[in-house]
Amino acid sequence: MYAGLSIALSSLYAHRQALETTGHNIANVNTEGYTRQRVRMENQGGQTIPAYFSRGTSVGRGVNVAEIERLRDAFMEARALAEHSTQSNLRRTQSVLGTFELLLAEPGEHGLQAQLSEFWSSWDDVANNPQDLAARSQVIELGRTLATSFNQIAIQTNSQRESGIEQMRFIVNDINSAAQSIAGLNEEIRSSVNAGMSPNDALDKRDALIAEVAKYAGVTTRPSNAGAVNVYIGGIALVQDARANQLQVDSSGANVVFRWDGDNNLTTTTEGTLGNVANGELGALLTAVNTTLPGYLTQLDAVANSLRTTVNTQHALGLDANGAAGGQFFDNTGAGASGLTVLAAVIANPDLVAAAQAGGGVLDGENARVMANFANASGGPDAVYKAFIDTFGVEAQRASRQVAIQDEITRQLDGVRDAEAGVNLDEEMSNLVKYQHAFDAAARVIQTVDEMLDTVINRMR
Amino acid sequence: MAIFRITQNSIAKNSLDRLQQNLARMERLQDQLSSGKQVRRPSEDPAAVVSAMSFRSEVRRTEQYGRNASDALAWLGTIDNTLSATTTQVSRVRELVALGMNGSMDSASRTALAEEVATIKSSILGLANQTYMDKPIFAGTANPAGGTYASNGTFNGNTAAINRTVGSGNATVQVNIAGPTVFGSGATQLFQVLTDIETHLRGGTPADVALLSTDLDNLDANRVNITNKLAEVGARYNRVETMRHRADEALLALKSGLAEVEDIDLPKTMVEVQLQEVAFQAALQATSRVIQPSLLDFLRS
Repeated sequence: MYAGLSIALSSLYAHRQALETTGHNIANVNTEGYTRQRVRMENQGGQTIPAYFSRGTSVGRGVNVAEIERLRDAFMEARALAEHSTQSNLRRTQSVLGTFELLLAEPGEHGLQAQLSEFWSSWDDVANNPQDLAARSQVIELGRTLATSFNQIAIQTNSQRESGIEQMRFIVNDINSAAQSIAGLNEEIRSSVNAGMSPNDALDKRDALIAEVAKYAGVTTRPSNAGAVNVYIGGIALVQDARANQLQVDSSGANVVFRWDGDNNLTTTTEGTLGNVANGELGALLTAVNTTLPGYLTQLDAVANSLRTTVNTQHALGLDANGAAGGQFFDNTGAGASGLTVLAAVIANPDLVAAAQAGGGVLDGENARVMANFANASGGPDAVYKAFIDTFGVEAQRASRQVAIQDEITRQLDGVRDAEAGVNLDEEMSNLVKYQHAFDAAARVIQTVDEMLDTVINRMR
Repeated sequence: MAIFRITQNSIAKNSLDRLQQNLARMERLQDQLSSGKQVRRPSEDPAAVVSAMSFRSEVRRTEQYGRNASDALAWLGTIDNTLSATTTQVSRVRELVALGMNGSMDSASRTALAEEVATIKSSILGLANQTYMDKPIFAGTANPAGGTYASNGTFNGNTAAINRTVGSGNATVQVNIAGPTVFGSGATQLFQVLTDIETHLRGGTPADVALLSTDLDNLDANRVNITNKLAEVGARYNRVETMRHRADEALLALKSGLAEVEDIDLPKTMVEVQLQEVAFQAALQATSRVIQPSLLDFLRS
């Protein structure tokens, strides 16, 4: 008789737990990264092994909560790590290219192309009036403006690179602190699992941290013993059971690299084994800082060098206002875009502009006229610059398209994950009703057994 | 991809994502409308951007061709006027010489003729020393202090050409003409001939009168030469004028090409903005329905 009570009691316990789990789900319907939980009940069977003198009736002993399940598709989760990592990578690349694009100000009246056109045309004005100081001064001023624009773009590209390196440092700090937390959670989860508990919320927290690190740097995970998870970046362990590794940024060389500082015992950032980070935001920043931005700077340097060489070569073929052979127009001691300047002597003395051709008189402007025609030259600075803008534009456009595609993929993947792991309030409501009825029914059983006992104990005479 | 289980969260998230996309489209259209440009950056349409850059530099170059052509026309016009005036003066001298060759003239009349020839000679010298914007037109690329021709007829300039680029493909035109080409050199130079005529008129001897006939031949040769040069300058003038008209037309075509590549089609963009606003409103309405009844509302309390 008393067995009936304990059967009903087990139902009360189990269904109370189920109700609490449902309540937990409802409370966390809007929590980021929450996985819905579900109670798995199993029936407790009666005696199945016969004893010699006592043979039970094999009536069951009620219900038991076997475990609280965490409903999450592990395969989808692994894919999500990869896709979110790619998404962050592409978005960061797009952002870098977008920032650089703003420096160029093309197409427009203030871009380098427009300034080059003005510069070449001003040489024609000198050719039309070689004796006019105003025309000579104008060509010098336009040359200086052009040189300053080149300088500015070079400086700002370099500073964009510097701020990229700073960002890498910040992100690496975040990764390191996330790694510490993951290691701590691993410890917690392991002791939980060993004690037979279901540490579902700790698992959720750990998954959220791993997802964060995946966005930063791209990770692979491998389950370790007793519910712990090892996290690897580029094949090297970031977290191994309860131990966290440290990553650092080494910007001492020409290229930026990552280094691993395993026991946090390295004193400088130039020690430690090389790390390999190819994905996530860090991967994008690494490419930008080591390859993309220096590449653009090199191309810009090529344009500036072409301009300097073209102008200086033609300038040397002519005569200045004093009849002396033309010297440099752009200073030859500078190199590339950052070193492009008009020679100081020319700025101080417009007479040094070599407008005349060799053998010409004081009113000769033929050299200046030939100079002006470089605007159309097929391999001239304008052509080199246009080719650069074209290449860059295509790259930037591709980055935008890739981001759009990846966003769609990631959105769909997140939808599928949410279908499995998300909380549906309708479902939880109907579960509440279900469990409440079961609880009521179990209470009724207790009442019935109580009445039966009452009959036996009190009513039988 | 079929999803069998939908949660409130996934509906909300999807609605917000689509709303964001709508908003991004609206932002793009608004930006186009307010800036008037359909391409802002190379990443939006690299081919169009490079095209716009090419158009822009062509426009600047063609504008410069127009300026050069105007300058060339001024040069050539000045030379044209000068040579016309010179031709008139030379014709007058011819008349005087014809008179002077008449044997029945007395010395006083011949002296008067000689005086007039001297006056015309200094007038033609003045024409030969003509300048355009402070630049002597017959001195080549030199700027001699005492003028192109000294008073004794010595040429102080050089024969270098002054060119202007007036069209693409390096279409150049020479805008000056060297003094010796027009006025001759050596013994048959115009000023030398004029000096000789003056001398022979003043002399009055039969030998002088005989020499006057040689002088007349030389004068005629010079006159024919100047007329030829006048025609040549006229031809160059016409060519530059044609080139300038071509530059003006090309400029128009280039600017409209640039506008086509760079600028928005205003009516089309305004219609797109309107459509996008309607789409955005619809999206907002749909999002508002995310707050939808759940089972909770229907369970008896």
